[in-house]
Amino acid sequence: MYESAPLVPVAFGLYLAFTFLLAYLARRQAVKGGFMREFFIGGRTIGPWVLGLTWIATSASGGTFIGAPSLAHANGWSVMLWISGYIVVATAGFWLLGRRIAELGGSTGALTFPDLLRDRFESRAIGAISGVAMLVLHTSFIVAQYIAGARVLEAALGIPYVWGVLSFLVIVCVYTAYGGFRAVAWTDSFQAIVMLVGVLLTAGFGLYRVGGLQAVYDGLAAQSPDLLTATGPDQFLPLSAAISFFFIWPLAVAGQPSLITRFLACRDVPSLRRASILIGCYILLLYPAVIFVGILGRVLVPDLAASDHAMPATILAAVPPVLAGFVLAAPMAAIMSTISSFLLVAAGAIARDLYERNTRAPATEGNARLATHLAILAVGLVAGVFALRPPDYLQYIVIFSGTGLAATFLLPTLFAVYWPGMNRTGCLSGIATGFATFILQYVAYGTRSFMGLDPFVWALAASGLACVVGSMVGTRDPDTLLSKYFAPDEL
Amino acid sequence: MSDSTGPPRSDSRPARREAFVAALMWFAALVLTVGLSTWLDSMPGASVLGVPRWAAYGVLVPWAVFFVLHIRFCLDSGADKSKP
Repeated sequence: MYESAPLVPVAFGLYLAFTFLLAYLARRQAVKGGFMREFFIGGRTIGPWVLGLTWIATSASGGTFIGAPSLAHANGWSVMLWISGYIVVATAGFWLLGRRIAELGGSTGALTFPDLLRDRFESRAIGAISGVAMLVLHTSFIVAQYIAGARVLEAALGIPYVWGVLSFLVIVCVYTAYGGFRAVAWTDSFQAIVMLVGVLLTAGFGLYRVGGLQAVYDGLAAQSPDLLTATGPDQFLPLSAAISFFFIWPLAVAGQPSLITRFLACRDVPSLRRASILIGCYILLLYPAVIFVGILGRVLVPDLAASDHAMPATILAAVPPVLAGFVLAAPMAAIMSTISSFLLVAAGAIARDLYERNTRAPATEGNARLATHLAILAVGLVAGVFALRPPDYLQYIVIFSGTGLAATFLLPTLFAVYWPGMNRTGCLSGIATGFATFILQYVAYGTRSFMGLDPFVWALAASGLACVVGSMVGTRDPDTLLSKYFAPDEL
Repeated sequence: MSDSTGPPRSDSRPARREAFVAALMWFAALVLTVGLSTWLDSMPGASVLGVPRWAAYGVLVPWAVFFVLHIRFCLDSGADKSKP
């Protein structure tokens, strides 16, 4: 534990109290009737501000606030190039799929991401397979968030790691199960504001404490000139890795089912456009500052007790004690918002895609509610158990699960919504090939596959090829089905 | 969803056009950022206001440029001016 600030527990308490208050208020706003529609997409009434802020709060995870600054602490300025794909994350994240998914959500009534694929191809198998893949990969992502959260509590409050994991498990499961998507979106919005303010304050105070940008530069140069290069110490970021990460950040975000679900909840296209502008501004302010905090931390706190302590240790070293507790809520906010969103999507995979849509008789509202709450509890507990043995660098789990989801779903979804020639054989081939090639490369080569590129790049290419070949081999979908998704002159 | 001013929801072409432009922007940013950063990193040079030169001109300046392009793109997107 680092030298702590006296108000940290008070600030954490206030932050949690406000989060629960928002969840309560959100639940009171819930639209009556249709439990699943309200619980999973907030009645499809989400406007631009909440849409934008919940999207970014879900996207910015413990990886952003704990993992990335730790990498910057270890590897200096090279991490700025590592994260530079975020330059186009708002553009790719909203416009590769966002508009089309929002339109189709409204016209088809889809509540979850697997709903979309299942209905597009009228295939239960596609719904079930995508549900299972999402469940596995989202659960591993939640594991990473528990680890990040427990690290923050460990560094800031001296709470033992295991108790930190349990605290996050209970807190987030309760407000997610209580309020569903609307509560998650509202609390996400508050958390997104806390995140941005927290990071900007830390960067500002840290810069003041070190003595300006040139002092940071000189401090790094004195420790190791490699901290100032684009490749970093020990070739942390060779050219192939820099290219890989420019694929990973924008495309992994674009193909992330938990983010795609946000578009299903969107009220209309103008809301999407305004949310996209908001997110462009937010990312421009947040991400360079997050990396800069890690770089500053290398000068302010060169020695860390654990590699993932860079952010909390820098906050405690840079920010005045009166404010430190409030600023420490920023990583907490990032972690909680991501866990809640991923819990909701993973629970949806169980309750909606594996249970409700596979029962012979329609599930009653009571059964749907019970199944959803049990699913949230089950996913939360399983992830908690896996989080009890954490790895050294959190960011690698985040990248693994995030890119695994996108490698599996991005191209099958793109083809499904834009190409009438795509059929269920193509979709199944794309999903299976993307998932299998991604996992096999990780097992065989780790994070650097052929030509030094990340497994994600090759898995994406293989998935796209499988979609096309599978669609050519399989039978074309009937026009009666395609006409729900495409104009007559597109067929 | 109440996109009353847009084309029929079954028409994928407006969204596809926007997706194509977004993909082009991603590719241009990839080439510019990674290419410029790698090239500048290989050249000797001082820092720019305390930021390594490759990071200033290879990452931060392109970030600002693509931010402006993103805003412009968003203002044009979803409007479907070509349709009544």
